[in-house]
Amino acid sequence: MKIERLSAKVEDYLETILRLSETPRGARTGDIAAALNVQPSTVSAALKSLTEQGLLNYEPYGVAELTPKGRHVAEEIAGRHVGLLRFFTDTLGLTPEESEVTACGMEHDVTPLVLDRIALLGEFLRSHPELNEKWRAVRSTAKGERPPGVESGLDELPPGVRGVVLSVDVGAALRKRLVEMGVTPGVLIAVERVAPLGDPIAVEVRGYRLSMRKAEAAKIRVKWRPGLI
Amino acid sequence: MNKSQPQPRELLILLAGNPNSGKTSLYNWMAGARQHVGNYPGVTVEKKSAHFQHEGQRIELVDLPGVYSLLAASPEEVIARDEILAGDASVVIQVIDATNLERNLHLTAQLLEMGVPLVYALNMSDEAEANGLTFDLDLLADLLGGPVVPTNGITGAGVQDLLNVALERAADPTPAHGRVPYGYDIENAVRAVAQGFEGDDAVSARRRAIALLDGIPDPHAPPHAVSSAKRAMERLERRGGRPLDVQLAEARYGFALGVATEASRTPAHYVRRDRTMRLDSIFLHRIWGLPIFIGLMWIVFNLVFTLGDPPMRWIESSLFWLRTNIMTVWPDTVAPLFRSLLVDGVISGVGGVISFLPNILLLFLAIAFLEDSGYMARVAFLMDRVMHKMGLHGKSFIPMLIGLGCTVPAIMATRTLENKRDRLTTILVTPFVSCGARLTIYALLIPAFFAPRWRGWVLWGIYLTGILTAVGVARLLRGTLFRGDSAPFVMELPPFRWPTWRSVGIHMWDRAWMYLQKAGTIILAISILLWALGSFPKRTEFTRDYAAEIAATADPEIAEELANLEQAEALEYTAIGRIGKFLEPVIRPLGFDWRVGTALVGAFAAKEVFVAQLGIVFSLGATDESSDSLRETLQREYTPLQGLAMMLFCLLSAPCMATIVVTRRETNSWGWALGMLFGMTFIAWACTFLVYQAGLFILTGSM
Repeated sequence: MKIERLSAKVEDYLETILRLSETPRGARTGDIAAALNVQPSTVSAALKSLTEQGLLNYEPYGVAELTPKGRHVAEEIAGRHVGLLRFFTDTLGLTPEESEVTACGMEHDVTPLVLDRIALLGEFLRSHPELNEKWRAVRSTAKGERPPGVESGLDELPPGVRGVVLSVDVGAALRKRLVEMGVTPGVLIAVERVAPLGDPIAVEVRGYRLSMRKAEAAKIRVKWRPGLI
Repeated sequence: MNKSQPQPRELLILLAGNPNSGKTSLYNWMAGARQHVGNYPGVTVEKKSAHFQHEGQRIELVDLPGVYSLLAASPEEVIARDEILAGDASVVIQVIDATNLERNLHLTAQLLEMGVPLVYALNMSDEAEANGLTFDLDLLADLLGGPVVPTNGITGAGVQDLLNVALERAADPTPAHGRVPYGYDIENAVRAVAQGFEGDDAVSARRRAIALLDGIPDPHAPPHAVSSAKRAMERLERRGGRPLDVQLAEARYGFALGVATEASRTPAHYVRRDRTMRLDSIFLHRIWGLPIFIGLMWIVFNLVFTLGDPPMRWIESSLFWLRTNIMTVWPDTVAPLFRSLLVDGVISGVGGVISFLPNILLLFLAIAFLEDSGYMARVAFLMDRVMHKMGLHGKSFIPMLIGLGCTVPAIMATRTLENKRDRLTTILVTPFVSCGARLTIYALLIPAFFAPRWRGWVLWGIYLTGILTAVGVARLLRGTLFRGDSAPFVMELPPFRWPTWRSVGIHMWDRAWMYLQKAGTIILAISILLWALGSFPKRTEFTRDYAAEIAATADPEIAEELANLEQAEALEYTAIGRIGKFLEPVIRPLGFDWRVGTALVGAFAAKEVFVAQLGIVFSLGATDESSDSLRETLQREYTPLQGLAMMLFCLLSAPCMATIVVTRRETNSWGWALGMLFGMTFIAWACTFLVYQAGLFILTGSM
């Protein structure tokens, strides 16, 4: 079934009616007006127009019921809304209020492809708990909050985040070299830059700069620390 | 000369410290031009020492290799430790970089265990103070158990003070007091293990016990000390939850951090090395870092070869002038043999030695600049990804680049590689990179055998083949002779600093002198040998009576032709000609005849000689790479496939005897040098064989 794009206002009505029609009271003019913060008379006019478009069965002073077509459209809009809301709260870590406001503003403008991709990204992070945890740590570090103590190899420490060395899990020869250069458990360490070709990396430790290959850095376990350097 | 007072003995002062601590600049200030550079016996680690007088006292100053620790994990660390422990040193000076106190004091923690009198040079303290750091020198001296002298390696400030203090300290031979506290459990274990070393004094027993616990093998340790160390290690590792060497390093760094925190003050808003950070964001920029690097390398290459070219020509033309003058005043009727020895043997041999000198001086000017400024470590950082894939080190890039100009300085440039395996691999593959002398051969042969539109492609193909062979051989060596994990790339990126002209100048002079003294003499000797091979045995009976015919003819062209024919016959008769003929069966499958063989043997003196020798064997007299008559002759005598085979063989075989001699000098072994010679000859033979035979098969359909 083909659905033409409706105005933002109309989409808001349909979504509200859908939500209210799941309550025992059903969707009534007064409740719709309250939910959308408009005059009941405006609501009546709007409902009439929706009925004319075949999206709604509505008798004045009665309960507004969505037609099958109207329900389909409303559900699609609600899906977008919920998808965005979930992405904002779970993945971006926004407060519920901020998420609600942002989702309401965006859901009418966003194209289905963008929505799809956003949902996919959220889903991807949820299905990879390890990555999700790291992302959350970066997110909270960026806001200056304390991340939940992620542990990773030194190679995965994002530039700009400090870490504490937990262990140096390498062969005896390399371990001796690393600890004599000051990479001992408990020391603060940060990745300063990555070589233009992607490897090796330069880290800052004990007030000087040390370079090592990523394969070597991967074997140094670090616990992430909050705050920028 | 101060001979007024008796001098009982020469004092030995050792200079120890981290790499990049400014140790060598301080050494240069103290030693001046009186220094001597050599190698420690049996290894390729450089030994720098100087004898001089200070306040009437004779002093031998030794600049130990720069190390981060004395745990004997590398040849440098073994030497530094053994020299300190040898017991001859009256005092050890540790150079401490004041801008990086914590890591420098980690080495102090180990020096304190050696039981030697210590003096500390707090180097760059003015730079650190300019950054806002302040030091409590008395407290520092107290905590480190030895006098502390602020110095500056750039201006030389404090150097005289340092020597005065070192002499005072040497008069009182009690070792530095101060020790690293390892904590209750480890200290107990150290005491228990130390009891096993009955013959040692307390200091030495403690040091050896700690070394055993650190996992350093001690072949002379009593068996019960070893077994008690083993038990203690197991127990302490279980208790500490991590290897014992890590726990020991933590304790040393704990000491270092403690001393650094107590004896220096950092301002609240201290911005760490902001200059280096700023420069790194330019030189290591994600996008601009590599273009800047390529630009700098272009400058280095041009500095060495473009700027080095005119002085090389002056040397060549003055030797030519000398040669012609000797030939005019010394008629060839008087002792012709000695005349030829002097003119063709000695003078051209000396030319072969010193014509490299401008390149070598300029190369080491560039290298000293790159090293002292701190950029060399960045070169390795930028190029490691690519070079590591090739089985080489990031720092191998510069030798390979210089190899495009000349292999001799390129092999000397491998000194910047600290790891022995990396260094040997680089030395052995650099000669495959086609050098400037080999270009002469391509310049002769390519126009002789290929149509103009193919010439550029052939030349590119040759250079590419050389580089790909270098990569292939490097990977092969890594997989066979130099097996094992590639060296870890854990390297300090030192702060950027302006090099001092003094240090750069001394560095240049050292290298040039070492080249002249150690490689030059052998190169000269081999030149004379090659001259002898090309002159003897003398042919006395020719197929024709050239002298009479030349005297009879009035036409100078005919006379010249006759002289050329005579020269060709004479060459054929000499040892080189005979070797060429003797080799013919071996080189026949490559498409070469005895004449090419003779030219190849002669080309061992220097690759460009190949062209001149070809000219002689084809009776064309003196020729160079742009000689059309030689090209015509070659076109007549050989096919393009044979021409290609000649270029391939010249590309892949050992470039010249100077390369072999410098390799012997740099690896400190004739084994590697001769290995290179025979290995390259074999590779060249095999590759040329395959290409020539495959080419023949494709072109004629038969082998």
